Amino acid sequence: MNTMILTGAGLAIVTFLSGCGGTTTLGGVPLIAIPHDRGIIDSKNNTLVDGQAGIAYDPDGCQVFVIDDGVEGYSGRRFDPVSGLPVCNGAYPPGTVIGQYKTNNVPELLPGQQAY
Amino acid sequence: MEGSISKAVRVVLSGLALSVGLLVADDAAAQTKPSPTAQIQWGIWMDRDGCQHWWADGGSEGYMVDRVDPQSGKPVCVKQNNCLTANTDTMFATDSANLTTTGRRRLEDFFRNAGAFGYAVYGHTDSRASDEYNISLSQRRAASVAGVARSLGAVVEREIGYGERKPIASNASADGMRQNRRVEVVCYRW
Repeated sequence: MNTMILTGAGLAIVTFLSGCGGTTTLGGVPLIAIPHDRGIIDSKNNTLVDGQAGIAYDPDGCQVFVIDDGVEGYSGRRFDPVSGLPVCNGAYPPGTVIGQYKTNNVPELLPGQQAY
Repeated sequence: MEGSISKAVRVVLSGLALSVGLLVADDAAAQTKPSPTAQIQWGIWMDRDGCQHWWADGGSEGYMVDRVDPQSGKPVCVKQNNCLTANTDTMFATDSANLTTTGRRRLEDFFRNAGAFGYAVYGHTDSRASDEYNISLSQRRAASVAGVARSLGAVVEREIGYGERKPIASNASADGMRQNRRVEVVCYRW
């Protein structure tokens, strides 16, 4: 029970600190995402930096770009720019991450673990 | 008696009207666009290969999807990361897939210094000769280039001959045709 309350409170704090200050509407509907990070704790870069991402292996052995922007996570598939085919070499087991995937120094809340 | 018949007819008629009404309502529902529930302002993030991805920060969550060309379905890559585009005139004799001595030496230098974990090799021709012949020639040339890479221990993940199907210049001029006769190498880097 205590854990439940703490988790809820933690989520509320994270939500507050990571950005949505007020509700903006656009065309009468809430604006839910923008191409800038306006969070208090994770807005150091403000926007994603071209070319900066880690590479993760999906279960098929194909590469995926992963970016941990503090509170948000982003991923997009890696493609060969000439043929448009995915890059799949199975060089590592599924789930392996290579390179710098974090774009700032915000402590990570890992699944099932405390922040470190 | 007359009254009860007309009543029965009316019940049937109203039932028909109800059915027609439901059909109309169904058609209308199928053609009515649902009202938006939220709005996203997408930004573009470009990866190290020059391919674009749409992204947006949702406060405590993030969204990203690979940008694709609506017609071809292929990813949109603006700054192509092909680390070698080599004209094939000096690397191969006309109609041949056997590397010249200078061509082989140049490729060996390239693959020794490219420093990638994997490569893709693409062969292209100009538009002379048949499409089928050009696909075959460019495929064999790509295989020759890939062979040089492998002889140096490099990993070639794919080798494709596109023939005359992916020109980068007009085949109407000699200079354009020369530009189209090429081998492209994409370097996959960490």
